[in-house]
This record gives sequence, structure tokens and C-alpha cells, in this order.
Amino acid sequence: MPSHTSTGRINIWKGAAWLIALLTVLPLSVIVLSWTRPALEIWQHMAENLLADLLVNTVLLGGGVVGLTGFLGVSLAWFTGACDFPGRRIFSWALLLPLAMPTYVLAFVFLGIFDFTGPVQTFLRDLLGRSVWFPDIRSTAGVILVMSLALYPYVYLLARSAFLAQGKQTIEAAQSLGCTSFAAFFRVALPMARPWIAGGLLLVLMETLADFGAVSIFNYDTFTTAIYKAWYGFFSIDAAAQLSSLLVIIVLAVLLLEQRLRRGRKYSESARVTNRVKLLKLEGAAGWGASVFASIVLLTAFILPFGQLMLWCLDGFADFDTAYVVYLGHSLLLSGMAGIFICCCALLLAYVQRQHPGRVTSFLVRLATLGYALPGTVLAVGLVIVISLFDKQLASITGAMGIETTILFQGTILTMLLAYAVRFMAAGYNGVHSSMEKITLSIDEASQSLGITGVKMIRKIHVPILRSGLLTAGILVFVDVMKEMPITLMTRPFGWDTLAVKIFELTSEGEWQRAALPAVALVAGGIIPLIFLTKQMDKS
Amino acid sequence: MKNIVELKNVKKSYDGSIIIKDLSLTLEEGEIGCLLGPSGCGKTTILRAIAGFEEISAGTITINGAVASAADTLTPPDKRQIGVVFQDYALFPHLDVYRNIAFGLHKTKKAEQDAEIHNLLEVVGLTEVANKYPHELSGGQQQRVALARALAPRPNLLLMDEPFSNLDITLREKLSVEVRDILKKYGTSAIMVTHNQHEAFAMGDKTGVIYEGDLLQWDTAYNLYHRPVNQLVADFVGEGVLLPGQVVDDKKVETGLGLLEGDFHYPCKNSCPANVLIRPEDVVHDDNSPVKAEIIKKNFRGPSILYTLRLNSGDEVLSLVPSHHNHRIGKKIGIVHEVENLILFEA
Repeated sequence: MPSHTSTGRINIWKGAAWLIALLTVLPLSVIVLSWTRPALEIWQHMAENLLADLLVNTVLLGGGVVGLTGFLGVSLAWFTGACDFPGRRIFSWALLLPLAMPTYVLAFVFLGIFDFTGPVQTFLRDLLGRSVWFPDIRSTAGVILVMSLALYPYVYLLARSAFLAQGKQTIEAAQSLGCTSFAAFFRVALPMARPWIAGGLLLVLMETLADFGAVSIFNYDTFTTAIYKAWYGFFSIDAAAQLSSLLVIIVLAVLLLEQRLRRGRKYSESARVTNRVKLLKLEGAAGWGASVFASIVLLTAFILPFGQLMLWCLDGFADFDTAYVVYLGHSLLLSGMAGIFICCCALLLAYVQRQHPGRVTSFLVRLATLGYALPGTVLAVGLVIVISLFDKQLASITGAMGIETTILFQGTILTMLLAYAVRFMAAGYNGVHSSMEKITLSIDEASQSLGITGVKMIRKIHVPILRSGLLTAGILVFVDVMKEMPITLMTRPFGWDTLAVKIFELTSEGEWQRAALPAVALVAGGIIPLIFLTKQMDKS
Repeated sequence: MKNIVELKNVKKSYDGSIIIKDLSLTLEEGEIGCLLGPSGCGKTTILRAIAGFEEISAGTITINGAVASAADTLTPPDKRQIGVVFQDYALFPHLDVYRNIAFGLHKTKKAEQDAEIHNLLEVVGLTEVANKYPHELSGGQQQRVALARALAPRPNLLLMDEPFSNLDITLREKLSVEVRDILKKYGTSAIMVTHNQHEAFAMGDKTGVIYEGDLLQWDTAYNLYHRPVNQLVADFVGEGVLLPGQVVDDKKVETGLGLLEGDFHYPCKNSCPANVLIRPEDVVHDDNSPVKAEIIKKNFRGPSILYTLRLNSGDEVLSLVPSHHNHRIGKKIGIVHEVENLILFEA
């Protein structure tokens, strides 16, 4: 379609999209380029003591979490999506509640509950005597359990929507060909849902690889904690960058798989128009069994930990410190600014995608939204290197002009905002883009033929249609930034503590109870996007 | 009657490929014109050029006496006083039915606006759903909202791009009759694009057959069917076969059906080969006829059966027969020809 806009304007739009994409590309490039300055001594130390452990730990953790979230997510999705059992309606949405709990919050609550001095073991000792054996929660199995309980909703959500979208016809077709309804699940429903389940599992794997908070609370060494230690322990940002590059390779491989699967999902999406699923009624013991199973998951993943948090809060309320208000203020300010900044970038990307569709634009958008796969620690390292290079260049330019400047951007809020933008651009873009898709080009033409054009059209048509999408995107980003730990920890201006940073500091000293108050604030914030999510579930 | 739209030698090429070749047509005020053609023939581009959404490379488009498009000028769509009904309706999702229709009436006074909208709602039969949002409506209702919205500012010309293609077949027929009545009631001139000839015949006073960016014939439905100007039009409109024959003189052609007599235009007069267009109703079943033909295929259509017959010459023709004449395949039945318009094409 010929465009009437001048070529100059096209360049400005596309130029801005290039800039946003560059935000992702630059930190990744400097991380790869860090190998030009190998930090040999540190590497020698790491190779001897650390690297093998890191790899083994990462593989164990990734495999364990993928396995357990797969089991929990698919079985629960099958029960609530395709079967009928007591409490199905409540469990359908309640099983998503763990999404509101950041992994590191669940991690420290679990330690608090199940540690040697925690209420469970104390109670058992009082009951059965000192010699009672209890599995150590600070173990590989413990981390896997905690992370799986926090992350299974990703698999649950995708698998459930796949089961719902299948409609009853395919299952009925299988039954007409002689399958029992139980066999139909394994031979038809499960294979058809495979791309969704795999997509959910890969998201879980990305989150696991990116996790910093939970593993550091458990003292379980992975790449993210090693990157942090290389920087803050050995003061070598080059070593941190080189470690990051190893993690990036793993993450990009996972990302490639995930994006390929997204395309593969098309084949069953055509089934979406069919009528609703006929639920398989689970009678008697089977039905109650499903209820008990779902209840146990919900209790351990959300209700008990949240109850414990509340108890700690009430106990420790006397200890309330006005400093918390400052942390909360910092968290809200950062999240708000990031929300607005990311929404503006997302809006720009969505407009470019709409006005100038094509291969280049799609590629730019994909680059710009790649960051959801990149661990916060990696992004922090990469961006700090980029910003300090930029500062040095600026200083040498202004120095040559005779003006003395100090560091301009490093360690400012700007660095943090840019890092958040890379990490959470996808969350913002998806919301904005989906409402942008509602404004078809023919809607513009309809408005034009009715005499409303230009700015007036944007005001009367675009703004009202985009408003809800922008708001949703903004809130999602807001909550994500609030929960974010490693970027904030590693790029914040000196003394700029937020709720998440405070939780990190308090939990690294084992002060579970004092960490409870900021944690409750984060969980409460995390409930908000869940409300959107369940609303969407009701619609589909 | 004055012309509401006039296209003169309009050409359009894009990226080196020609989309419209030298196209001319006129529509009189109050008439409904249809552009009929297979997908990708350029008919939608013509409509969009008339609306002003597309520039043209050469020629002129005159709307209501003023040149709206030429190679170097393009009056923007909002200055053309046209209404457009889009294939996807393009209703504003954030506005209810009432406010969708009111959208183009921003220059009218509030009271007049209200009266006009209520009048329109009644005409299109949507008074009940005035406060509903587009996503709460059925396809047929959405289509009517799109029509009412386009008609509200009283445009000089209404342009419709495949307006019924998203509806099921029964609704399509019902609505096309309704829409024609509404347009005639308002005296609105309109151009509609469609790939469905029944729709074009039901709606249009004139219909143009478009093929590869070319307007082959701009005529009444009767003439398109019975007097197609070339073989492409004959193929695209209606059913029928081209029966090979031999011109005897300027009023006679010898074919497998026998000697056909009548007026025809054909460059060559004596004993040249020619193809004669035979429509299914030109071949009439008659038990008493000495001419027999063998049934090869039959297609039951309710009121009639369409038989494919093999003549003694080996040629095949179609015959539309009232359906109580139910014969089996392989049987020989008597036929007579009743060819009213002799249409000959070069063999």
C-alpha cells in the first residue's frame, strides 16, 4: 500500500524503533566482547573451584524444576480444564495465586517454616523427642520444590488454555474411534496440547535460569549468583561479563526453541471456534482425590506461606520502622517511571509495526522484546559496562573541549530504567500491541470517509481504543519492576534501597520475620495482574 | 440525468505492476453500480481509488461534477462526500451503535442529529440495539450499523466493498434486497464490489465485469447474461457451453444442435468456424422431438435439473429441465433448441 507520508517521517519512526532494539543489542554485545579482556586469575580460580559445580547445579535445578512444574502444571490443568470435581471453579483461578508470590519470597518463607529452628521442626521435636529426623530444606531438592511451587502456574495456564481450546469434538472423534475417555487424554488431548505445555516449560526454564533471589537465599550457587559474586566479591566486572556470556548462550538456546514452538502452536489454534469442552465427570474417590491434590498444592504454594507472612507481620509490627515508607516510596517511584517509560516505548514500537509493517520492523520488534529471556544479572552487567563506556566517551569529548565532567549516567536511575526497559519490554509491548490490532486500517479509513482525520482521529478513535491496553500493560510492568531483584540490586544509586533490595539484605542475614512486611506489600501488588488474568480467562 | 461518477481512462500501477488498465465508466445519479470479478482482479482498487484512499497514475475520476482524482491531484476522502461500507465493517469498537452512526454527523446540530439517527435506526431496523456495542451484535446487525453509519451524513455516493461476504447465504440474499430498497428510498447512488454474480444482479442497475484490471463490459444484468461482448464475460457470467459450429450465411449457423437462425455479429460470413454460446435454458426437453441426446450427468437443483447432454455430433450441451422430468443417466431424451440471442465467438 502506498504511503502518503514523506520519507523523512518514516525515518524518524523507524529510527526510534532501532534505538529501542539497540537497548537489547548493546548489553549483549559488550558481554560477548568482554572475552577480549579475559580475567585470567579469576577464571583460574573459578575453573578449579566453581565452574563444574555451577554447571551441575544449573542442570540439576533446571531439570528438576521443569520436571516438577510439568507434572504439577499439566495434571492440575487437566483436572480444572477438562474434568469436573468438587471445587473445580474455585481451583481454576486460585491455582494461579502463587504467581503473585515472587520466588524469593516463597524461598525465605519456606526456610522460615521448615528450618531447624522453624515451627514445623520445633513442633515435631516437642512431640517426638530430639532425635526426630527431618529432611533438610536447604538442599537441591528444597530449591527445586520451592521454585516449582512458585513457577508451576506458567505451565498450568498454558496447558489449561490448550485443553479448553481443543473443544469436545476431537475428544469425541477419538471416542467414536474406540478410545475410552481416559485413553483419549493420552492419545489426543495431551499430544495436541504439547506445543503449549512445552512453551510453558520453556518459560519456566527461562525464569529458573534467570532467578537470583531464591537461589541466593538457599545459598545454592548458580550462574546468576556467581555473576553477582564475581562483581561484588572479586570486583571484576569483566569476569562477571564473561560468566554472563556463558549463561546467555544457554538462555538464547532456550529462547530459540521457545520462539520456534510459538509458530508451531498455530495448528491447533484453528480449533478455537468449536464449542465448549464437555467436562469429564470424576465420580466419588477420584473426584475427592483431585480436590485433595489441588488443595495440597494450593496450601503449600500459597495459603500457608502467605499465612506465615501475615503472622510474622503481626508479630513484628511493633518493630515497624519508618524507613519502610522510604523503601516503599522508592519502589513505587521506580515502578511508576518504568511503567510509563516502557509503555511509551511499546506504543512507539506498536505504531511502527502498524504503519510500516515489514520484515525489518518485525525483526526490530523481536529484538526489542527479547529481554524477557535475559536474566537480570546479565542485563545489569551488560548495561553498566555500556553506560560506563558512554560516560568515558562523553568525558573525553567534554575534556577535549576543556570542560571537566564527572560520571554522568553510571549509578543513576537512568541506568536502572534502561535495564528494566530491556527486561520488561515484552510485557508492555504485548498489551499495547493487542489493543493496537483492534484498530484495523479500515477503521482509520472509515473515520476519514466520515470527515474525521489527523489529530482529531487519534483523539476520538485511537486513544479510547488503546487506553485499556496501555493501562493493563502499565500495571503489569509496574508490578514486575516492583518484584524485580537483581537489576535493582546491582544498578541502584548508592543507598537507594527498595522493598526487593531490603528483602535481599534482610534474608541474607536470616531475618525472615523482618523481611515479612516488605514481602507482604509485594505479594499484595502481585495480586493485581492476576485479576486481569482471571478476567481474561473468564472471557475465553 | 446527470452523472454522479465518471471514470475516464483511469490507470493505476504500483511497483511496476499494472493494477488498473485504462478504465472508463459512468454512473448516473440514483443508480447502483456493481463491479464484479474474481479476487485479485483490481475491483477493490477501483473502489478505493473512487473513495480517495488510493492515488491513480493516469486519467481522471470526477465525482458530482468535480475532478476528485487525477495523476497529480487527490482530493482527500473526507472532502469527497462519500460513504464507505467496508468488508470488515470497521465499526468503532469503543462506541455503541448510536454513537457509531453519530460519528459522521459532527457538523449537524444536536437535535437534528438525534432525529436523523433515530430515523436511520428505524430504517435499518436497529432501534432495539441502539445502546449496544459492536461486539454484542450479530454479523447482520453489524452490517446494518455500517450501512447506517455510512448513510448518516447523506453522502453523494456510497461505496461498498464486498459488504455481504461475511454473512451466511440466506442472510446475504435477504440483506442485499433490503439494502437496495434503502438506497432507492434515499435516492443514494452507490457502487458495490462483489465476486458473487447473484448479488450483483440483485443489487445493481448496471454491472461491470472486471478481469485483470480491465473493464470488459459495463451493462445491465440482462445484457451481461444474454449479450456478453466476449468469451471472458460469457465464461464468468452464468452457465453455458461454447458449441462449435459453422457459419452458413449472415443469419444461419450449423451446429450439433442443428441449424440455428437469427441475427448475429461475426466478422466472417461464409463457412467459417465459430463457437456459439448456448445457455442451459436454450436447450428445451421435448419428448416428441426427433433430435435425441444422451444424459451424461445430472444435477438436481430442486425446481429444475441441470442435465449435461451428449449430442449425436459428440458435442456436449447443458439443459435446464423442470425437475419432474426425472431421467436416469445414460438415457436418450428428445430436445429442441430455443436460442433467442445468437452469440458467436471466434473458434
